[in-house]
Amino acid sequence: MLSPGILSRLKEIVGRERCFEGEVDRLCYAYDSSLESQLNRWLPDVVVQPQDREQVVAILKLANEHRIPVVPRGAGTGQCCGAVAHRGGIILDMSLMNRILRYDLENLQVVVQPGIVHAELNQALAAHGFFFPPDPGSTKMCTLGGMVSFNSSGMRAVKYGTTKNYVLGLEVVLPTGEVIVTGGQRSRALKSVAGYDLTSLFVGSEGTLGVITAIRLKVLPLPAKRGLVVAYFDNLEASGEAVIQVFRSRLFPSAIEILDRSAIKAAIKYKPALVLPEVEAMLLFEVDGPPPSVAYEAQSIARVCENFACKVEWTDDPARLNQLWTARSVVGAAAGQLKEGATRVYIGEDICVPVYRVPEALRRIRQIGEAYGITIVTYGHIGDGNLHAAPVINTYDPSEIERVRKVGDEIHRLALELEGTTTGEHGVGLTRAAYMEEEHGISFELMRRLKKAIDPLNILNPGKMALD
Amino acid sequence: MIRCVRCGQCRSVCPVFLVKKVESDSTRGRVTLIRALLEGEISFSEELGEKVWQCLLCHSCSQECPSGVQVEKIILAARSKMAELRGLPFSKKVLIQGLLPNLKSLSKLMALGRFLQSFGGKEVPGGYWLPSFSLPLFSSRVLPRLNSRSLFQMVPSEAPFIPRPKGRAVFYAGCMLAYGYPRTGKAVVEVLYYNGIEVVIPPDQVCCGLPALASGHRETFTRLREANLRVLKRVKADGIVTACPSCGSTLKEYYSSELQAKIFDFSEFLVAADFKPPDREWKSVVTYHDPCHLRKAQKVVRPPRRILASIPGIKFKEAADPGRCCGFGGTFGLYYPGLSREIGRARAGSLLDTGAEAVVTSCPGCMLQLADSLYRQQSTVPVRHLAEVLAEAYGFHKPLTAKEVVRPG
Ligand SMILES: Cc1cc2nc3c(=O)[nH]c(=O)nc-3n(C[C@H](O)[C@H](O)[C@H](O)COP(=O)(O)OP(=O)(O)OC[C@H]3O[C@@H](n4cnc5c(N)ncnc54)[C@H](O)[C@@H]3O)c2cc1C
Ligand code: SF4
Ligand code: SF4
Repeated sequence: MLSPGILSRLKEIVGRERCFEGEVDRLCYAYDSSLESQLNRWLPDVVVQPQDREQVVAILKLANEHRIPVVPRGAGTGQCCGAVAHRGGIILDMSLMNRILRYDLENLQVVVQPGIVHAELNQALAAHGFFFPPDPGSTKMCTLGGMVSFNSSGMRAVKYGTTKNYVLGLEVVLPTGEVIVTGGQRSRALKSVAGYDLTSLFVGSEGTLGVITAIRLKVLPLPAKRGLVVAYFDNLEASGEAVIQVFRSRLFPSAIEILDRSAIKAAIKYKPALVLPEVEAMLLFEVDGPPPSVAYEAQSIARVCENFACKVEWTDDPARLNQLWTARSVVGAAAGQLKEGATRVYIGEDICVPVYRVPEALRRIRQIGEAYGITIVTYGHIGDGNLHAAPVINTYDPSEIERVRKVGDEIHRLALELEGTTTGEHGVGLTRAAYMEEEHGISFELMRRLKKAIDPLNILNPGKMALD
Repeated sequence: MIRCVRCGQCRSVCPVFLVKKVESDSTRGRVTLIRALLEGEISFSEELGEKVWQCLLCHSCSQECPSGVQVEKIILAARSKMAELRGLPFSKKVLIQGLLPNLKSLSKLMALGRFLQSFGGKEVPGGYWLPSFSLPLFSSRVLPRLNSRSLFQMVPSEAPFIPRPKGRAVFYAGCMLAYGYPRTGKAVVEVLYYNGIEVVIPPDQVCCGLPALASGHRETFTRLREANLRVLKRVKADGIVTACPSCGSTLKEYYSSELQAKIFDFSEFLVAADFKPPDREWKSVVTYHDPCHLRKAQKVVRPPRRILASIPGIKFKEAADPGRCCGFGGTFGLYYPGLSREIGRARAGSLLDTGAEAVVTSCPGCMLQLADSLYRQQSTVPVRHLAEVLAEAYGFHKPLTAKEVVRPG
C-alpha cells in the first residue's frame, strides 16, 4: 500500500480527478487481454492519468525516490500481462496524452503523443493522403505507445515491416526523471547513423526502460488502390507451397494471411454474409499500389495460386475488401463463439516461424490441441511466419485451464524447435519470460545489464521479461 | 459475459468511455465488474453501482463486440438485481412506479408543464423552450414547447375511410411522440394515410416500459407490457408501426415473440409499403443521425436513407462517424446531464462538420438531445424527425418558418 503522503503528492501532480484509488478502478486496471491476468488479480495500488510530460517526470521522480513500481499502460490490449502491475504500485495510464503534436508531411513524418489510438492516427493521416503502415488487429483500440513498446505489427508487415521500421525518434522519461530524446535532439531527418541506435533499444522494451512521452514517426503516402486475392485449399501443404511460389515468381503482396479450417468456421459464424466455403485453408493476399500494377499483381498471384488451390477469386471492390479484412481481423476474438459456454483465450498465441515451416507448425499446433483435448483455432500472417493460435476453453473448468497452460508451453517450445520465436507480436511480459534465456542465450545477460544501468532501482515494470 | 475476451474493442465505441477515458467507464470494465460481483470477488458499493448506471444501453458495444457479448442484457440483469437488493433511489421511484404506469397523469403533468413554460424560460428556435431555472430531472435542458393537446386529442383514434387501402397499421406512439412531440406524431399518421394506409391509434396504449426495464424495475415493466399487449392484440392490422426506435426495440426484443414480426419502424414500414416519393422539393443539405435503438438494436440502417434520397432537392451528407450515440439514453440523460451533454457535444460536432442545414433523425429522444446539443454550440441547424420532413415534402405540413429557426441569443 502507498502511504497517504504519496497518494496526495500524486493527486497534486495529476489532479484529484485523474488519480484513482478505489477498488472498482483498480480492478479494471488489473487485466489486459491475457488469460493469466484473468486468472490472477494483480491490483495496482493506484492508477494515474498524466496529461503531459512534466507530470510523468514528477511521478517517476517520486516513484524512484520511494522505490514504487510504475507500469506504463496504453489501452491494455496487450496479451502477455505487460501492462499489468503484478507487483502493485502505480499504473500510469497514458490515454489522455493522445494528441498529434506536429505534422511534418513534406518530410514524411509526424510527431505524436503515445496515447493516440492507432485507427485515429491513420484516420487523421488519411485526410492528408498518408498512412502509418503497421496495422494490428487491435487498430481501433491500441495506442501508439503500446505499439512502440511491443514493436507491434500486423498483416502488412510482409511488405511494410513492423513499428520499429517507422520510429525515427522518441522522447523518453527515464526512471530517474531525466528526459532524453533519441534519434537526434532536433533532428527531422529520415535516417541517421550518429551513435548507438537508442531508438531501437526503447522500441520493444515493454515499458521496462522508460516512459515514452512523444514519438517521431515515419509515414508513407497512401497507396492509390488495394486489391485482394482469395484462394481456397483442400490441403494445408498446398497453401504453404503457394506462398513460396508467389515469392519465387517475384511477386510481393503487402499482406498474406492464412485461415485454417477452424478459423474459417469462426469467420463464417461471425459473418455468414461472407459466404465462405469450409475448406482446409484459405489464403488472403493483399496487393496495393497504382491501379495498373494492382490489377497485374493480383492476376499474377491468382494464376500462381490456381496451380495449388481448389478455388481462387479476386476483388478490388472496397466494400468486399473491407468485409473480408474485418472478418479476418476479428476472427481470433470471434473464435469463442464456436463453442457454447467457452471463450477464446490468449496463451501461446503469436509464435513466429520461418515461412516454409508454417504448414508444419499449423499441423503440429492442431496435434497439440488434440493431444490435450483443447479446441484451437489457427490463423495468422503466413507471409512472415507469424501464427495465431486461439485456444477456446471454458475458463471455469480448472482441468481445461491446466491443460491449456500446457498447450501454451508446448506451442512456445514448438516455435523454438522450428527455428522461430516465442512471440512475433504480442510481447514477452510475464507470459514469455520463462523462454527468454533459451531464446537469447548469452545476449540475454546484456539485456539484464542494460536494464540495471538505466533503471538501477528497478521501478519500471519490474518483474517483466525476466529481467530481474 | 464469459465470452468477453477483454480485447477492448468496445473501448472504441462506448460513448461514455470516449468522454471519460477511464477503463472502469468502458464496456470492458463494466462487464468485468459485474462478473467480479457475481463471482463474489468484490462486494457491492456505491462506486460500482454508478458504473452500472452510467451506461446508455446504446448497443454500440454489442454491435462491435467480436465475441458476441450482449452487453445491454448483462447491464439490465445487473440493474434489476441492484434494484431488488437496494431498492430504487427516490427520484427513480417517482418516475418509474408513480408516473409511468399511468399515462393520464402525464397529461396532467403536461398542463403543469405548459403552465411553467408560460413564464420563467426563453423561447428557443425550432419550437423549443429553455427553462431559466433547473427543473427536477430535466436540469436546464432545452425542451420541446409543449402543445395544448396530446397526440390522442389531435388525431382520431380510428382510421377515416380510405377507398382502397394498401394496408392497415396500428400506430404505437410512445410517450415522447404522444406528449412531447405530438406534431411529429401527427406527421407520422398523415404520411401513412397519404400512402394509403389506414391507421388505428388505440388511446389506451401506455408507455412501452423501457424506462422501467432500464432502471431494473421489471415488475412495472411487466405490468406495462401486459397492458400494451392487450391493446395491441385486439386490433387487426398488418403491422404495428412505431416512430420511436426505443419503443420499437423494446417491443421487438422484450414483448412477445409472436408479435415481433409485426413491429416495424416507421421507415421500415413505409419502404415495405412501397411509399410514394414526394414531388415537392425540400431543398436542403441534410445529414442523418442514426438512433442507436434503430441502427444497432433493430439494424435498420438503409430505409431512412432511402426515404431521404427519394425527396427531390435533398443533398445528403453522411457524417464521418455514422452510428455515433447522441448521449441521451432515456433516463441516462436525466440522471447524468453533464455527461450526457458532453457526449452530445461530440455528436453535434460531427453532424455539423457535414455542413448540413438540417439534421434528420428518427427518434424523439435523439431530437430532444440534439436540439439541446446544437443549441449549445450556437448552431441554428434544426433537428427534424424523418416523418416531419416527409410530411413537408408531401405538402401537408407547413415548414418551420425562418423566424422559428433564427440564431439563439
Ligand atoms: C483483438 C486483438 C488483436 C491484436 N492484433 C495484433 C496484431 O495484429 N499485431 C500486434 O502486434 N499486436 C496485436 N495485438 C496486441 C496489442 O493490441 C498490441 O500489442 C498493442 O500495440 C498494444 O497496445 P496498447 O496500447 O494496448 O498497450 P498496452 O497493452 O497497454 O501496453 C503494452 C506494453 O507497452 C507498455 N507501454 C504502453 N504505453 C507506454 C508508454 N507510453 N511508454 C512506455 N511503455 C508503454 C506497457 O507497459 C506494456 O508493456 C492484438 C490485441 C488484440 C486484443
Ligand atoms: S469487445 Fe466484447 S469481448 Fe472485447 S472487451 Fe468488449 S465486451 Fe469483451
Ligand atoms: S451500451 Fe453504450 S454506453 Fe453502455 S457499455 Fe455499451 S457502448 Fe457503453
